[in-house]
Amino acid sequence: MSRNDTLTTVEQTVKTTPERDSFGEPVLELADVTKRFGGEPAVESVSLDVREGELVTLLGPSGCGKTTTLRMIAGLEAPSEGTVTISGERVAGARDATPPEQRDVGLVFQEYALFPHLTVGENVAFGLGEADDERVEELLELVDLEGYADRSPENLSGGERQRVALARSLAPEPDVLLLDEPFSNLDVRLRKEMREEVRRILKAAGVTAVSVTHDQEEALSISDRVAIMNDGRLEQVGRPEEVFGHPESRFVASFLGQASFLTGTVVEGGVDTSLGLLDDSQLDGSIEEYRGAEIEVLVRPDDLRAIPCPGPSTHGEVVHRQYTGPSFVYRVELDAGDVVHCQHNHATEFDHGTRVCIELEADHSLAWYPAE
Amino acid sequence: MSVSDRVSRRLGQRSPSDIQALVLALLAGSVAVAVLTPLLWVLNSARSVPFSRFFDILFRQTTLDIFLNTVVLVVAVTALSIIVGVPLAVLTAQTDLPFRRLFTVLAALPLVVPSYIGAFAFVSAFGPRGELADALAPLGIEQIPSIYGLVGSVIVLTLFTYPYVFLTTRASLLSIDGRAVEAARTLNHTRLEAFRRVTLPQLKPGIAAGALLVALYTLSDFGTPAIMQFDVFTRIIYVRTTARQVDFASIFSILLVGLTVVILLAESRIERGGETSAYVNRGTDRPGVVRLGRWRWVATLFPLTIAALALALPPAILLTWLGRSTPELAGAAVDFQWAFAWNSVTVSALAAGASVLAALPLAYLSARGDGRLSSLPERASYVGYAVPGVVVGFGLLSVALNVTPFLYGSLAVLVFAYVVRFLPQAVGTTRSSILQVDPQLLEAARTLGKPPLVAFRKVVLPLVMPGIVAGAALVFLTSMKELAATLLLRPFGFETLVTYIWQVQEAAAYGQAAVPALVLIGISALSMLVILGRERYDVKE
Amino acid sequence: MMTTNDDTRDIGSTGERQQSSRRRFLAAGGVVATGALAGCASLFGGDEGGDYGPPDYDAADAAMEAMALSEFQGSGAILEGRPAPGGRSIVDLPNLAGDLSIYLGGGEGGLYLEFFDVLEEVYPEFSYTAQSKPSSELAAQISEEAQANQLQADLFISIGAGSLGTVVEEEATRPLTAETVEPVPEAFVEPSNNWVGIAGRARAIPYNTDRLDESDLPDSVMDFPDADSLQDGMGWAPTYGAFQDFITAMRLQEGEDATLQWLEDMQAAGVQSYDNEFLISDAVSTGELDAGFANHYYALRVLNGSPDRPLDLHFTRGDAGSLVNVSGAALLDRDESAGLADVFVRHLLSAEAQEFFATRTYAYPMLPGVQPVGDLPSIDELETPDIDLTELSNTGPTTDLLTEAGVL
Repeated sequence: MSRNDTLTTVEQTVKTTPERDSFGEPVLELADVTKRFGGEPAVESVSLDVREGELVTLLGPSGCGKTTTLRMIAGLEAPSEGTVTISGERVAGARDATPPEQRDVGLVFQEYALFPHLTVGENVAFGLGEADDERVEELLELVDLEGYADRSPENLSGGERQRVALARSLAPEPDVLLLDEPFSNLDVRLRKEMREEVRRILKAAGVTAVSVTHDQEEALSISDRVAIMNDGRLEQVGRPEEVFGHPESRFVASFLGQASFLTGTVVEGGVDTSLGLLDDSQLDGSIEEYRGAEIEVLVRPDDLRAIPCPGPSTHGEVVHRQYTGPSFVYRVELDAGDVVHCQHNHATEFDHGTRVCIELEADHSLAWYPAE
Repeated sequence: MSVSDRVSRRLGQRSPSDIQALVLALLAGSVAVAVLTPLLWVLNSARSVPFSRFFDILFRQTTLDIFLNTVVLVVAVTALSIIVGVPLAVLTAQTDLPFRRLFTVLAALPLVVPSYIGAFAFVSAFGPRGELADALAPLGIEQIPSIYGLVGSVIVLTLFTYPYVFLTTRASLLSIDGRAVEAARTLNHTRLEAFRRVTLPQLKPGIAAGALLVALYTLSDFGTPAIMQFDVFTRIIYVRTTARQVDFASIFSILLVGLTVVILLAESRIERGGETSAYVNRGTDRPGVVRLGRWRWVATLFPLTIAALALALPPAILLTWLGRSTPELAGAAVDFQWAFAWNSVTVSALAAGASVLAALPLAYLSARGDGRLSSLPERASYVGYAVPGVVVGFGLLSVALNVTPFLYGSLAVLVFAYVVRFLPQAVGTTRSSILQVDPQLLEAARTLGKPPLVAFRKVVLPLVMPGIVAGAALVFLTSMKELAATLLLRPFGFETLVTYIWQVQEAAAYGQAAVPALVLIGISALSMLVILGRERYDVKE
Repeated sequence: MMTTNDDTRDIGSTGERQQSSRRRFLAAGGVVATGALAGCASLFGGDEGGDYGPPDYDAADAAMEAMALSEFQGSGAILEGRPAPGGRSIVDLPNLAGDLSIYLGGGEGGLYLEFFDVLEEVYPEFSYTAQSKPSSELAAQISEEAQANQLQADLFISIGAGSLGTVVEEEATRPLTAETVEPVPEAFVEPSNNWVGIAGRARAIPYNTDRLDESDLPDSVMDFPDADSLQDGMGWAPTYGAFQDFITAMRLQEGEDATLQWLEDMQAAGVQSYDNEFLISDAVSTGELDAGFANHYYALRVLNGSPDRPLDLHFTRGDAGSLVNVSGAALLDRDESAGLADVFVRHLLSAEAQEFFATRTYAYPMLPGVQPVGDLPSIDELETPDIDLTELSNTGPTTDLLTEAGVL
């Protein structure tokens, strides 16, 4: 069974940074932060702690409030309710907010916002109190742009500009570095490269960082922790493999990776689904309280396998086949009503209309949610 | 985004940036009010005229005559400008006329000559004591048809303002999607029909925009009707102002401003009707080139004649007079001194500096604010632009004398008049410069530890500087050429290029005006360059 | 009201005279001092010997001596055989020092300014600034400024008595000293010395001798609209101060109704409007017009430049058409330079100045010792109307009348 690429990357990251769990005290604390525009809340009761040296990503669809949250941390917006504390100092709370120039927070803008009338070196030095050529050189080295000090930002490529923006924000040694959709302006190829680069730079600098994105692959691959936001609220915070593997809500489940839901009734010792009986032990947590109720079990395409099965006990019919390059994803309509997705390598090929049986091959416990 | 949050009031949120926004709004507001003062004063003066006198003056025969003269002049010049400008635009943009690029430049160039210099040159060429009369006299022709009056005014004003129509029509033509015309032709329309049914309707907003510029200019022009001895409102207001007859002056000013408002209303209606695409060159496919066939070379006569009359004649005349000595008969006007040029430069430079300073808050508020309220001061400043110079002069004269006597006769009043009239030029260029600056740059600077004012100074200001400089240059150059307000408000003993030319023109001592007039044309040409540089008018195909 | 110069001395004290550069400057010109006879020496084109004035001057200042009376006199055939002018010489007047601001009305600004420039050369510590505008404009401006106590100039020189009267009425003036106005005939001085005439201008009818005989021109100005020979051939300058004074005179003599009628009839007779009366005289000389209404000296200027033109002057008798107006000076009610302004006016009434005005602007001089130029009839010979010049200040009804008739 092929594994989801994302998980592979996550695993790799796990291998290369063994110290992931050893982060320090919280540098950034959001407590019940709410922001209203007009009557509508754009951000509602968000509480989050970011520890020293951590890289946390706020992930969510557009309009979920992640950028607003970022701007509140930066000081470009003030919260309607709640507090923001940086390094123990309250910078935003009821009725007052420290302006951005007085906070020790750096921000890398989505479109980099480099000063066109200054050179690269002058851009980087902008936030420094006094000119410090050595430090500028140091930073340029860190971002792999040695010797670029006298160049003009106009002549740089997208990737180079991003690195200048990074160096510039790092120069004043902020307590927290914020990144607003840092890779969305790069083309796809460059994105993967730059992700690694940026993570390397951030870790080398030892800076605490909060990033914002709608790209789940990006979030899952480089973050120490991921915070999923939806409609102004924080749905779940946790390590990438946790939120991916054990999503706490339907939304998170659907947002990350591809999700299919198997309906079933909870009976003694397990769940009766259209794919057969699942044992209690195969499910996350305890379903004791839900005996007798209807639930939905989360299955991902790599948890399922379709096998040809022409006999009368088929589960469903292949209705769509999507070719993704390395694999096929088949959409199967189960007779019972659910629609599931199965992922296969290209050795196996099913045509539309083929009757198949579905096998469950998960090697981890499955998440489930009360039926809606 | 950040300024907008702060400008719109939200209860329970006070921060230093809120205060800054308030200060900004107050600054902008006070500039706008200051600039409106002359007009408000004029309105107030008119109000204080007793009713009976008001109606008495309003319904006199002479008032009606002047009103008619003005309206006829404006309509005639506008119509003629369209007749000249549109074909020229079509010829240079859509046909295979030879030397198209040259003719495009030549067709736009008459804007360079201040209209009163043009009138001056025409009178000295075609007037009863002019070149032509002298040339014809030996042939026994005693009198030539008079250049004065309506005919002369219309000809001169058309020659030097038609380029407005030319330029806007041309811009429209260049932005029309050629595929629509091609579609019409695949639907069985001849070229002419396609032009009439597809191109022309799309041209209307562009033509209208140019025509209304012409109308506004004509309405507020003082020099040409005065030289041509044609009684329109500007001329009469000037006479009444110098005779210190406040009641007449204010009533006529009201009427003139009323006409201006009518024209502006017409402009806004037409502009709303059609897109403002008239000004935008989208670079889409253009309609195919029209072949003129055997008319090709004959067609060049049209732009050539216009260019000869508008561009060749005035400098030629002035140069001829340069060579001649002043006839003693003329009563010996004062000799030209370079101090006059220096005075012009000084007062214009002051006006440019003041305008730029005043423009900054208006432009910033308008560019960065949200909602209609933030662009209100900017729009208010355009009022000063629309009010004719002679009315501004009259208004400020009254204000100075009655409200701030200590300022009466000082240079400050004249500088203020220029600011009132030309502030919008500085606001316009500054505002578009600010709009081009990414608001995130300011935020970036703040996240790098710079307080808002420092961030503004280090980041926004350097990027906006080209726009500011262009605005200052425009105000400087337009002030150098301004006539009516200068004549009315100049301090005692303060002569400028313009007042000198005027004085000399009144004494018919043409020769002495040659040098300063040529200097003025040169200066005007510079301002054209600045305008063209900013708009990047495409002369190429 | 004396000048501030340390060379100050009273007029008439012929006691010790210091060697002032100014005197040396003028001495060579041979200007006749007060009371001395000019008789013998013809200064015009003369190297002949003669009594040229005070004998002692420093030969080292020979350069300044080059300034002769001919600097003041004009040139041209019209001046042949002219006797030396008599009257107060500049030499005898207090020095001028300081800055003077002048409102200069009228269309001959250039020529007056030339004279002022000479004064600047003679008195190194004196300088002036002048603003030239039409006299009626200046009168209105001065009135307004006086009201707001914002007068911008020290002296008003107007081309006609009407404007002078206006500013006096508006209490914008101060009286001149008796000393200054002393040589001028009563008719040309305001009763309380608030203004004094500097040069006379007679209303006249320039006409084209090729087109018209003098007999074609009526003796009464009121008959002009009806004259057949003049239909469609006349010109006037209704915005010109002097013309408006003429209309005021007509109003005072003939009454409002008759004047209004006259204005309307003239328009019906095809009269053309010009900006100023120099242009009219020129137009008559070239045949553009047959005849016009203008001050007498404009025709003389035309002729001096082009002696062959068919131009001559006709004078009406005893009515507004033969009005002799004066250009004059009034001190404006400003503290700063009153003394200087008064002595300046005195200089305008010096023999040299009057000679200047007579021979260059062809005006009627105010001093009995200076003759009008050329063939001009003397002031006594002109049949002037019986009008007090000060009444010409009554311009309001005149402007109304002109407006009502549609002329303005």
